Amino acid sequence: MVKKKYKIPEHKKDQLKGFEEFLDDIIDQGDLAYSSKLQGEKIDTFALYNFLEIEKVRVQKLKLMLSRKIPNTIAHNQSSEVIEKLVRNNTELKDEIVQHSKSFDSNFFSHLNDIYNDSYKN
Amino acid sequence: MKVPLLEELKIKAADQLTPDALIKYLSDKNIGQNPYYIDLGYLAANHLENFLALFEEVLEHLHVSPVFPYPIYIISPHIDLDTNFSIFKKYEEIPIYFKHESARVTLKEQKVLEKIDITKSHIGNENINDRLYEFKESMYPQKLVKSLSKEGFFLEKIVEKIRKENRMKQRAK
Repeated sequence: MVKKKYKIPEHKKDQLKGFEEFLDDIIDQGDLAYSSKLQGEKIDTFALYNFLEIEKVRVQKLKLMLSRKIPNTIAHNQSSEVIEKLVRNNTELKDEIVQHSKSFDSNFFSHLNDIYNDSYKN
Repeated sequence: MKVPLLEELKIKAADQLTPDALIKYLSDKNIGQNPYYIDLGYLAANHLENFLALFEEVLEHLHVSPVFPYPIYIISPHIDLDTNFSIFKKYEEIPIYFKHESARVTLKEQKVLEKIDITKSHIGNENINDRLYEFKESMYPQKLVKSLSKEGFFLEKIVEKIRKENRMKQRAK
Protein backbone atom coordinates (compact mmCIF):
# COMPACT_ATOMS: atom_id res chain seq x y z
CA MET A 1 0.00 0.00 0.00
CA VAL A 2 1.32 3.45 -0.87
CA LYS A 3 1.70 5.57 2.20
CA LYS A 4 0.14 9.01 2.16
CA LYS A 5 2.42 11.96 2.71
CA TYR A 6 1.37 14.15 5.58
CA LYS A 7 2.34 17.79 5.46
CA ILE A 8 3.59 19.20 8.75
CA PRO A 9 4.02 22.97 9.10
CA GLU A 10 7.68 24.09 9.41
CA HIS A 11 7.23 25.78 12.80
CA LYS A 12 5.80 22.54 14.30
CA LYS A 13 8.54 20.23 13.00
CA ASP A 14 10.87 21.18 15.90
CA GLN A 15 8.15 20.43 18.44
CA LEU A 16 7.64 16.94 17.02
CA LYS A 17 11.29 15.87 17.27
CA GLY A 18 11.68 12.57 19.13
CA PHE A 19 8.09 11.55 18.42
CA GLU A 20 8.72 10.27 14.88
CA GLU A 21 8.27 6.56 15.74
CA PHE A 22 5.14 7.25 17.73
CA LEU A 23 3.70 9.31 14.90
CA ASP A 24 4.45 6.54 12.40
CA ASP A 25 2.36 4.16 14.54
CA ILE A 26 -0.53 6.62 14.59
CA ILE A 27 -0.36 7.02 10.83
CA ASP A 28 -0.38 3.22 10.40
CA GLN A 29 -3.49 2.98 12.55
CA GLY A 30 -5.09 5.66 10.41
CA ASP A 31 -4.30 3.65 7.29
CA LEU A 32 -5.81 0.60 8.93
CA ALA A 33 -8.99 2.48 9.76
CA TYR A 34 -9.12 3.73 6.16
CA SER A 35 -8.73 0.20 4.76
CA SER A 36 -11.36 -1.23 7.14
CA LYS A 37 -13.75 1.51 5.97
CA LEU A 38 -13.12 0.43 2.39
CA GLN A 39 -13.82 -3.20 3.35
CA GLY A 40 -17.08 -2.14 4.97
CA GLU A 41 -18.13 -0.50 1.72
CA LYS A 42 -17.34 -3.73 -0.13
CA ILE A 43 -19.48 -5.74 2.31
CA ASP A 44 -22.34 -3.27 1.74
CA THR A 45 -22.04 -3.79 -2.02
CA PHE A 46 -22.20 -7.55 -1.61
CA ALA A 47 -25.23 -7.20 0.66
CA LEU A 48 -27.10 -5.45 -2.17
CA TYR A 49 -25.87 -7.96 -4.76
CA ASN A 50 -26.88 -10.83 -2.50
CA PHE A 51 -30.32 -9.27 -2.00
CA LEU A 52 -30.76 -8.92 -5.76
CA GLU A 53 -29.76 -12.54 -6.35
CA ILE A 54 -32.29 -13.73 -3.74
CA GLU A 55 -34.90 -11.42 -5.20
CA LYS A 56 -34.24 -12.86 -8.68
CA VAL A 57 -34.90 -16.39 -7.39
CA ARG A 58 -38.00 -15.24 -5.49
CA VAL A 59 -39.49 -13.56 -8.55
CA GLN A 60 -38.72 -16.60 -10.73
CA LYS A 61 -40.42 -18.92 -8.23
CA LEU A 62 -43.40 -16.59 -8.12
CA LYS A 63 -43.63 -16.62 -11.90
CA LEU A 64 -43.46 -20.42 -11.91
CA MET A 65 -46.19 -20.63 -9.31
CA LEU A 66 -48.53 -18.26 -11.13
CA SER A 67 -47.92 -19.41 -14.69
CA ARG A 68 -47.46 -23.18 -14.25
CA LYS A 69 -48.10 -24.63 -10.82
CA ILE A 70 -51.51 -23.10 -10.07
CA PRO A 71 -52.94 -23.71 -13.59
CA ASN A 72 -51.58 -27.27 -13.47
CA THR A 73 -53.11 -27.89 -10.06
CA ILE A 74 -56.48 -26.71 -11.34
CA ALA A 75 -56.28 -28.45 -14.73
CA HIS A 76 -55.18 -31.78 -13.29
CA ASN A 77 -57.06 -31.69 -10.05
CA GLN A 78 -57.17 -35.18 -8.57
CA SER A 79 -58.98 -34.25 -5.39
CA SER A 80 -62.34 -35.76 -6.43
CA GLU A 81 -60.74 -39.15 -7.20
CA VAL A 82 -58.78 -39.09 -3.95
CA ILE A 83 -61.90 -38.13 -1.97
CA GLU A 84 -63.85 -40.95 -3.61
CA LYS A 85 -61.11 -43.43 -2.75
CA LEU A 86 -60.85 -42.24 0.83
CA VAL A 87 -64.63 -42.38 1.37
CA ARG A 88 -64.69 -45.96 0.01
CA ASN A 89 -61.76 -46.97 2.20
CA ASN A 90 -63.35 -45.42 5.31
CA THR A 91 -66.67 -47.15 4.61
CA GLU A 92 -64.90 -50.51 4.31
CA LEU A 93 -63.08 -49.90 7.59
CA LYS A 94 -66.33 -48.93 9.32
CA ASP A 95 -68.01 -52.09 7.97
CA GLU A 96 -65.17 -54.21 9.31
CA ILE A 97 -65.46 -52.58 12.75
CA VAL A 98 -69.22 -53.16 12.80
CA GLN A 99 -68.78 -56.80 11.69
CA HIS A 100 -66.33 -57.42 14.54
CA SER A 101 -68.46 -55.59 17.07
CA LYS A 102 -71.61 -57.51 16.05
CA SER A 103 -70.25 -60.95 17.02
CA PHE A 104 -71.42 -62.21 20.41
CA ASP A 105 -67.94 -62.67 21.92
CA SER A 106 -66.68 -59.24 20.81
CA ASN A 107 -65.10 -56.78 23.21
CA PHE A 108 -67.87 -54.34 22.44
CA PHE A 109 -70.48 -56.76 23.78
CA SER A 110 -68.38 -57.76 26.76
CA HIS A 111 -67.96 -54.09 27.72
CA LEU A 112 -71.68 -53.51 27.27
CA ASN A 113 -72.28 -56.53 29.45
CA ASP A 114 -70.02 -55.11 32.17
CA ILE A 115 -71.78 -51.76 32.08
CA TYR A 116 -75.17 -53.44 32.26
CA ASN A 117 -74.15 -55.66 35.16
CA ASP A 118 -72.61 -52.76 37.06
CA SER A 119 -75.71 -50.62 36.65
CA TYR A 120 -78.55 -53.03 37.22
CA LYS A 121 -77.42 -56.29 38.85
CA ASN A 122 -75.59 -54.85 41.87
CA MET B 1 -34.34 0.37 -13.52
CA LYS B 2 -34.79 0.71 -9.77
CA VAL B 3 -33.69 -1.66 -7.03
CA PRO B 4 -36.91 -2.91 -5.37
CA LEU B 5 -36.49 -1.29 -1.97
CA LEU B 6 -39.22 -0.39 0.47
CA GLU B 7 -40.49 3.17 -0.05
CA GLU B 8 -43.15 5.24 1.57
CA LEU B 9 -46.29 6.10 -0.34
CA LYS B 10 -47.45 9.36 1.16
CA ILE B 11 -51.21 9.68 1.19
CA LYS B 12 -52.67 12.64 3.05
CA ALA B 13 -56.34 12.84 4.01
CA ALA B 14 -56.93 9.34 2.65
CA ASP B 15 -60.58 9.36 3.73
CA GLN B 16 -61.32 12.29 1.41
CA LEU B 17 -59.63 10.93 -1.72
CA THR B 18 -61.71 10.27 -4.81
CA PRO B 19 -61.09 7.10 -6.86
CA ASP B 20 -59.91 9.14 -9.86
CA ALA B 21 -57.39 11.10 -7.80
CA LEU B 22 -56.12 7.86 -6.27
CA ILE B 23 -55.79 6.19 -9.68
CA LYS B 24 -53.81 9.15 -11.00
CA TYR B 25 -51.55 9.28 -7.96
CA LEU B 26 -50.85 5.52 -8.00
CA SER B 27 -50.22 5.50 -11.76
CA ASP B 28 -47.68 8.30 -11.31
CA LYS B 29 -45.97 6.31 -8.58
CA ASN B 30 -45.76 3.23 -10.82
CA ILE B 31 -47.47 1.09 -8.23
CA GLY B 32 -46.79 -2.65 -8.38
CA GLN B 33 -43.19 -2.17 -9.52
CA ASN B 34 -41.83 -1.55 -6.04
CA PRO B 35 -42.65 -2.49 -2.45
CA TYR B 36 -44.42 0.34 -0.64
CA TYR B 37 -45.73 1.16 2.79
CA ILE B 38 -48.43 3.67 3.64
CA ASP B 39 -48.67 5.28 7.04
CA LEU B 40 -52.39 5.51 7.79
CA GLY B 41 -52.06 5.73 11.54
CA TYR B 42 -54.13 8.92 11.53
CA LEU B 43 -57.27 7.16 10.25
CA ALA B 44 -59.98 5.76 12.53
CA ALA B 45 -60.92 2.09 12.08
CA ASN B 46 -64.08 2.72 10.02
CA HIS B 47 -62.35 5.29 7.78
CA LEU B 48 -59.40 2.95 7.30
CA GLU B 49 -61.72 0.09 6.33
CA ASN B 50 -63.48 2.30 3.78
CA PHE B 51 -60.19 3.56 2.37
CA LEU B 52 -58.73 0.04 2.08
CA ALA B 53 -61.84 -1.16 0.25
CA LEU B 54 -61.47 1.75 -2.18
CA PHE B 55 -57.74 1.15 -2.47
CA GLU B 56 -58.32 -2.53 -3.34
CA GLU B 57 -60.83 -1.56 -6.02
CA VAL B 58 -58.40 0.94 -7.50
CA LEU B 59 -55.59 -1.63 -7.51
CA GLU B 60 -57.87 -4.12 -9.23
CA HIS B 61 -58.66 -1.47 -11.82
CA LEU B 62 -54.91 -0.98 -12.36
CA HIS B 63 -54.37 -4.79 -12.49
CA VAL B 64 -52.05 -4.68 -9.50
CA SER B 65 -52.07 -7.21 -6.70
CA PRO B 66 -51.65 -5.89 -3.14
CA VAL B 67 -49.28 -8.79 -2.40
CA PHE B 68 -47.46 -9.96 -5.55
CA PRO B 69 -44.88 -9.35 -6.94
CA TYR B 70 -44.30 -6.55 -4.43
CA PRO B 71 -46.33 -6.04 -1.28
CA ILE B 72 -48.05 -2.88 -0.10
CA TYR B 73 -47.85 -2.63 3.68
CA ILE B 74 -50.15 -0.50 5.79
CA ILE B 75 -49.12 1.06 9.07
CA SER B 76 -52.02 1.50 11.44
CA PRO B 77 -52.97 0.63 15.03
CA HIS B 78 -56.09 -1.18 13.71
CA ILE B 79 -54.45 -4.46 12.70
CA ASP B 80 -57.51 -6.72 13.02
CA LEU B 81 -59.27 -5.55 9.86
CA ASP B 82 -60.38 -8.06 7.24
CA THR B 83 -58.30 -7.04 4.23
CA ASN B 84 -55.80 -8.37 1.69
CA PHE B 85 -53.17 -5.89 2.87
CA SER B 86 -50.64 -6.65 5.57
CA ILE B 87 -51.17 -4.20 8.42
CA PHE B 88 -48.46 -3.42 10.97
CA LYS B 89 -48.53 -1.22 14.02
CA LYS B 90 -45.26 0.53 13.24
CA TYR B 91 -42.56 0.72 10.58
CA GLU B 92 -40.13 -1.43 12.61
CA GLU B 93 -42.55 -4.38 12.48
CA ILE B 94 -42.49 -4.53 8.66
CA PRO B 95 -40.37 -7.50 7.41
CA ILE B 96 -36.77 -6.45 6.79
CA TYR B 97 -36.51 -8.24 3.43
CA PHE B 98 -37.01 -5.10 1.33
CA LYS B 99 -35.34 -2.79 3.81
CA HIS B 100 -31.93 -1.98 2.35
CA GLU B 101 -30.04 1.23 1.96
CA SER B 102 -30.20 2.50 -1.59
CA ALA B 103 -26.87 2.67 -3.38
CA ARG B 104 -25.63 3.14 -6.91
CA VAL B 105 -25.78 -0.23 -8.63
CA THR B 106 -22.74 -1.79 -10.25
CA LEU B 107 -22.74 -3.33 -13.72
CA LYS B 108 -23.07 -6.81 -12.23
CA GLU B 109 -26.07 -5.76 -10.16
CA GLN B 110 -27.58 -4.02 -13.16
CA LYS B 111 -27.55 -7.32 -15.06
CA VAL B 112 -29.38 -9.09 -12.21
CA LEU B 113 -31.86 -6.22 -12.11
CA GLU B 114 -32.54 -6.65 -15.83
CA LYS B 115 -33.33 -10.34 -15.27
CA ILE B 116 -35.64 -9.44 -12.38
CA ASP B 117 -37.38 -6.89 -14.61
CA ILE B 118 -38.02 -9.44 -17.37
CA THR B 119 -39.46 -11.96 -14.90
CA LYS B 120 -41.52 -9.18 -13.31
CA SER B 121 -43.03 -8.28 -16.69
CA HIS B 122 -43.99 -11.96 -17.16
CA ILE B 123 -45.72 -11.89 -13.79
CA GLY B 124 -47.47 -8.68 -14.80
CA ASN B 125 -49.01 -10.51 -17.77
CA GLU B 126 -50.72 -12.97 -15.42
CA ASN B 127 -53.98 -12.07 -13.76
CA ILE B 128 -52.65 -12.49 -10.24
CA ASN B 129 -55.89 -11.87 -8.34
CA ASP B 130 -57.78 -14.45 -10.44
CA ARG B 131 -54.98 -16.97 -10.07
CA LEU B 132 -54.91 -16.57 -6.30
CA TYR B 133 -58.69 -16.87 -6.13
CA GLU B 134 -58.58 -20.10 -8.17
CA PHE B 135 -55.83 -21.39 -5.92
CA LYS B 136 -57.90 -20.63 -2.81
CA GLU B 137 -60.87 -22.42 -4.35
CA SER B 138 -58.74 -25.49 -5.07
CA MET B 139 -57.71 -25.60 -1.42
CA TYR B 140 -61.16 -26.60 -0.08
CA PRO B 141 -61.15 -30.17 -1.51
CA GLN B 142 -57.65 -30.55 -0.06
CA LYS B 143 -59.05 -29.78 3.37
CA LEU B 144 -61.70 -32.47 2.89
CA VAL B 145 -58.96 -34.91 1.83
CA LYS B 146 -57.10 -34.08 5.02
CA SER B 147 -60.10 -34.67 7.30
CA LEU B 148 -61.01 -37.91 5.49
CA SER B 149 -57.48 -39.28 5.78
CA LYS B 150 -57.45 -38.33 9.47
CA GLU B 151 -60.69 -40.26 9.95
CA GLY B 152 -59.29 -43.20 7.97
CA PHE B 153 -56.18 -43.25 10.12
CA PHE B 154 -58.33 -43.35 13.28
CA LEU B 155 -60.49 -46.19 11.89
CA GLU B 156 -57.40 -48.15 10.86
CA LYS B 157 -56.09 -47.89 14.39
CA ILE B 158 -59.35 -49.33 15.76
CA VAL B 159 -59.36 -52.15 13.19
CA GLU B 160 -55.76 -52.95 14.04
CA LYS B 161 -56.65 -53.16 17.74
CA ILE B 162 -59.65 -55.41 17.07
CA ARG B 163 -57.56 -57.76 14.90
CA LYS B 164 -54.87 -57.94 17.57
CA GLU B 165 -57.44 -58.81 20.25
CA ASN B 166 -59.01 -61.46 18.01
CA ARG B 167 -55.61 -63.06 17.41
CA MET B 168 -54.99 -63.17 21.16
CA LYS B 169 -58.40 -64.72 21.78
CA GLN B 170 -57.74 -67.43 19.18
CA ARG B 171 -54.39 -68.23 20.77
CA ALA B 172 -56.03 -68.46 24.19
CA LYS B 173 -58.57 -70.97 22.87
